[in-house]
Amino acid sequence: MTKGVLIYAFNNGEIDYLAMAKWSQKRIKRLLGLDTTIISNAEQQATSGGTRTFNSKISPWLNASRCNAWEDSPYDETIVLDADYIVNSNTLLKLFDTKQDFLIHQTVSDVTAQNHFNGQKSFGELHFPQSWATVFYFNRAKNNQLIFETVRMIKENYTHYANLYKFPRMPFRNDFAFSIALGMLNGHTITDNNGIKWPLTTASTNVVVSVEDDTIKLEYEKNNKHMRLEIADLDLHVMNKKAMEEICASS
Amino acid sequence: MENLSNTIKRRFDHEASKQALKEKYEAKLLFAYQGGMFCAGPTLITLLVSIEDIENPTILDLYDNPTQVNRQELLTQSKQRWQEQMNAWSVELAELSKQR
Repeated sequence: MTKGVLIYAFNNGEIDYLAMAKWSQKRIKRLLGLDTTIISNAEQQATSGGTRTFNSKISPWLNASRCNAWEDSPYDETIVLDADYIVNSNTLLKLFDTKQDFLIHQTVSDVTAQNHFNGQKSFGELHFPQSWATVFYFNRAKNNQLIFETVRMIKENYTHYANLYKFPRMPFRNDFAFSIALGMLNGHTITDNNGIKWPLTTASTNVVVSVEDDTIKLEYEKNNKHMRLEIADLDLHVMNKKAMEEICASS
Repeated sequence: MENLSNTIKRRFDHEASKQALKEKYEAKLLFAYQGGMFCAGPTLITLLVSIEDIENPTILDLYDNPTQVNRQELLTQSKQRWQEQMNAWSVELAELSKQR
């Protein structure tokens, strides 16, 4: 059984996702012992999910290719990661140890303990529970192909699902599409059987992040005070893309 | 020099640090056994102690999969992992509490 990591890294003229993915690739090999396949503009025509503000500029958000992971992954068991996810421990290896065919984060935590993501436990006016497609695991179980086909169907009919679940039509959000797809394939029931059993530790856009060896250093404002934090042996999802670019350029 | 000065001026966030440690060690308490995923800790240990008359019980793992286990073996692994991680957590928390 082959195991590996898949990262989509489509540069959009503003953010160098490919540099981030290549930086992550080395850490993944060292900390997880896994190979990484990077899908970039060179391998595939990126699909835009709309626009988003990056570094104070509105640029295309090339995030709509993740439903191709079933075809794009060369592995029997795959972990799909965002390019802005820092692997800083071997925790992800536990995803290969369960009997579950598909796992995705269903809880998120704010690393600065300010509960910045409390509003994102659910989405839309119906408060549908949100999964986070930043990290997910899948194997070659037949049912998993259906998950990706369903995500693709949702993407192609996004306005319909936006109306049905009452969330904004633009931009396309993988998190929403995977949440809805899992709900549908679980018989329109809400279950945590696909949930990764630890939270997605995340630093918001206002946190300055740097990495020194395997210690992640964070600086931010909290209650009008300048704060700092250091974490080790814990993975981190970094929403501050500028900080991620600087980390990749300097280490 | 300015960066160094800014870093010194910043306070260490003990609240966030404590939360990060909790997340880190809670993940370390998870382990696979006989194809199931379990969390080493009081709940699992209490369950296994309470069924001491059953050598190979079938219990639910964290994903609600019935999993047949060797009770004594799983109990030993659970206790060992739980205490190892609790000790490491305690040591790291003590170290971090010295930060200013």
